[in-house]
Amino acid sequence: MTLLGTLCISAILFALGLVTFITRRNAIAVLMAVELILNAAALNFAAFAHAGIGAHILQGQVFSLFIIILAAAEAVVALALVMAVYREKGHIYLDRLTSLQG
Amino acid sequence: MNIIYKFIPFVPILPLLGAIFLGLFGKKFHKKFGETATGIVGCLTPGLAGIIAYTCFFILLSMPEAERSVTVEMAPWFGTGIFQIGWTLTYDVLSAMMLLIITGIGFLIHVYAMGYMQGDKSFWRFFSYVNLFTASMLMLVLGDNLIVMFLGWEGVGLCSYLLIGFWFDTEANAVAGKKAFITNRVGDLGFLTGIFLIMMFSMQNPDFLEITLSFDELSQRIGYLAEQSIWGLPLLEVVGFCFFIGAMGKSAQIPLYVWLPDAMAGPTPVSALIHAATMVTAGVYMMARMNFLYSLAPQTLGIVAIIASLTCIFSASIGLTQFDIKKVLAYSTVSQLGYMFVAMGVGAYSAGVFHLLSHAAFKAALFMGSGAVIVAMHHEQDMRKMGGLLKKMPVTGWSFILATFAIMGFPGTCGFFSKDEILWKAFSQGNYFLWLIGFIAAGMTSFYMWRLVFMTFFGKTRADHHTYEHCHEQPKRTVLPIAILAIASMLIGWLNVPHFLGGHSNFSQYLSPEVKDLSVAPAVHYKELMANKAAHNNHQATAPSGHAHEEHHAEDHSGHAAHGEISAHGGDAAHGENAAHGEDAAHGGHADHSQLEWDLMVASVLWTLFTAFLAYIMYLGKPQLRLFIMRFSLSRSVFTLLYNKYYVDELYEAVILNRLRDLYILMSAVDKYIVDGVVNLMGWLSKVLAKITGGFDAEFVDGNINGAADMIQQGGRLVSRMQAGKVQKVILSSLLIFSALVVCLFYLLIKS
Repeated sequence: MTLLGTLCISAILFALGLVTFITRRNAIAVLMAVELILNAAALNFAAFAHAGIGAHILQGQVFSLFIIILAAAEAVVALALVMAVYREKGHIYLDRLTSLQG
Repeated sequence: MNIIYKFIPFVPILPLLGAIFLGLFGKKFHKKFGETATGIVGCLTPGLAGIIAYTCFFILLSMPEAERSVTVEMAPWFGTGIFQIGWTLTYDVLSAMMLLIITGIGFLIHVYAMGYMQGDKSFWRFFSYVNLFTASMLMLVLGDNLIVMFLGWEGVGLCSYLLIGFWFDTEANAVAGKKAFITNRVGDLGFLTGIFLIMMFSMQNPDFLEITLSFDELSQRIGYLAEQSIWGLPLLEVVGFCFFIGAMGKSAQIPLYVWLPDAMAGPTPVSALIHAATMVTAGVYMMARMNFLYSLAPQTLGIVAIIASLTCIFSASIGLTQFDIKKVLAYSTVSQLGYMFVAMGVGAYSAGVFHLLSHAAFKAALFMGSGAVIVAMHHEQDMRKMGGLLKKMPVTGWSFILATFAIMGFPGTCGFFSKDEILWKAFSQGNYFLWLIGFIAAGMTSFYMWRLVFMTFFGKTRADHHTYEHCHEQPKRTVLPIAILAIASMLIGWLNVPHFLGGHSNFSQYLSPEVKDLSVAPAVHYKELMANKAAHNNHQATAPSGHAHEEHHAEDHSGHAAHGEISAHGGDAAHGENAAHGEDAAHGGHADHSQLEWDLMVASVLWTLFTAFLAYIMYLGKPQLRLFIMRFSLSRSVFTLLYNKYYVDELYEAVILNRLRDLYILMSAVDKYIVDGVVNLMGWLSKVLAKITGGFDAEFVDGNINGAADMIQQGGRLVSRMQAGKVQKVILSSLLIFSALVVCLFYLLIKS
């Protein structure tokens, strides 16, 4: 697997994530899109580490691990928020959550 | 002394409690325990007060004469600075006597009312009012200062209004109540003015450290007040006249007497209690209480005497022609009140008070008798539809006849002693005119009273058969009080047998600590007083008291104190000026006057007997004579004039009420077109002005502010879109911007 191939996959993942993020109304779908974007980034780090670019051999991989942990934490908090919103409003459609609008 | 001190406050308080109890819970009580129990509660409180009053009276009699005055300070009422008014009662010879009348006759009338008001749907309300009246009247006579007296004065006026209009569902009764109330207001204004004048002048003297307006205090300061003058008139004359205006209203003297005949619209016990025995005599009581003031106001006394004598004969002549049994008695009451004020006016206060006492007894009996007749005749008051009732109602009838003997002044009855005393006092002081009027009125009194008796109790009945058959003696509780009072009116007179008949004028002597007749009290003439002002001031400083009164105290107990003694203290009292007031006539030439007094007495007895005989002929013996007299047009027109009460009500209607109404119309026109016009103009102007400023405000000021606000709002709305929390749009826009930047970057890179 060449560096370029991996980066391509990462770029496709990012693009998919971004499109999903922008187009979907469902909050959970949006969260999934965020996961895609994060994983694209993590894949990028891992790819660069594998190619030996960086100050240390493990620098990229450690970053990837951080991103995975961060994604897990983010998923927990965000899902909890979604649950709370659902209890309060009865739905999780982001375009309808406009009570903060001026 | 101690007992009096402790128990006297209960005399007015007990009926007050009764009034409050019956007023608040009477309806329920009536429903639960029935009429008799309610009546007993109503009678109980004046009864208990009566027991206290009579006990205290005998204790008072047992005390030495100089100490017969108890002042009870119950509580302070109000005060500002030196002006301190208290709930203070005074129990002395005068108020003790009034208490006997009010509680004694009051109790009998309460008992009578239990029978009279039987079956009335507002039985409890009646007793509540009557109890309240008794309490107010007791407060009036017990009050130690003018303010407490005024409280009672207003209280009795209120109760009179409530009781006249007791059956207020008939409009005439309600109107009569209002008439009484409003007429009394005119008098009360005079009374209040008197109080204010005394207050004002008392306040001006820095030597007075406290002003309580008590009668004792006033009599001590009377010397100071006598020196003052207001509007160029001596103060005491003005004050005395103001108080007399109050008495005019309350005691029905010309020109304020018009309410009393109309007051007969009330239940008959009320007429007996309020409009004969007690309330209407409040003016007489007030003048007797302030005799120290009136003795220093000779001009006012003159006016009092003239008004009183006019009232006396004027109302007696109206009484001659009335057919309503209660109206006759009402005009008779006004006339008898006139006698009392004649006595006051000639300074024979004790004679006036004695007539008050005897009048209370016989007039209450007469009223209650007429009430019994009215009930027995199924509420018929017209004497033309009565007659022959003596057989049907013997007790009422004979009591009524006894009371009639008393009012006509038959020898031995109380009216004889009291009326002749007044006539003699008027005559002996040189007021032959007053005597003549009183003498003629006495004949009229005898005529109309016997006319009433003959039309009601004698002859053939003119009532329809049914009514006459059903007519019967009233129950005991109605009849007994009448009989008791009729007997009392036979006996009371012996309390005050004058000297020339071998008596000792016990009653006048009993009153002498409080009520000092003009002939024995120091009558100080103003001119002399002013001349002696400096000396008087000294006198005031050392002993600020009417010490002249005390000097006299020792000697004025007997009406015929030696002439020399009286002259002995002519030093500061201007004795020489008093000849006109008849000191010489009263005290000099004892033997001659006895003869004259005898002659006058015999003349008046013969005259009253003659008019009584005239009444007998015209109404019982030869009715044809009456018809014959009535054939002349002169006598017919006199009759019409009298029957229509000299058209006084119509005169008042035309001269005062209609002018007042015109004034109201004028005032309302002024109000409507001028006052309202100005107001409306101002309103219109300000409206126009407001419109202009409003337009300016709306267009310019608000325009600016709203414009600014709008701008801010629009900007805010614009900016707030960014803060809408729409993450996706934010991301999208940032992506677009990023893409645009990238494109630009590429473009720049390619170009370079």
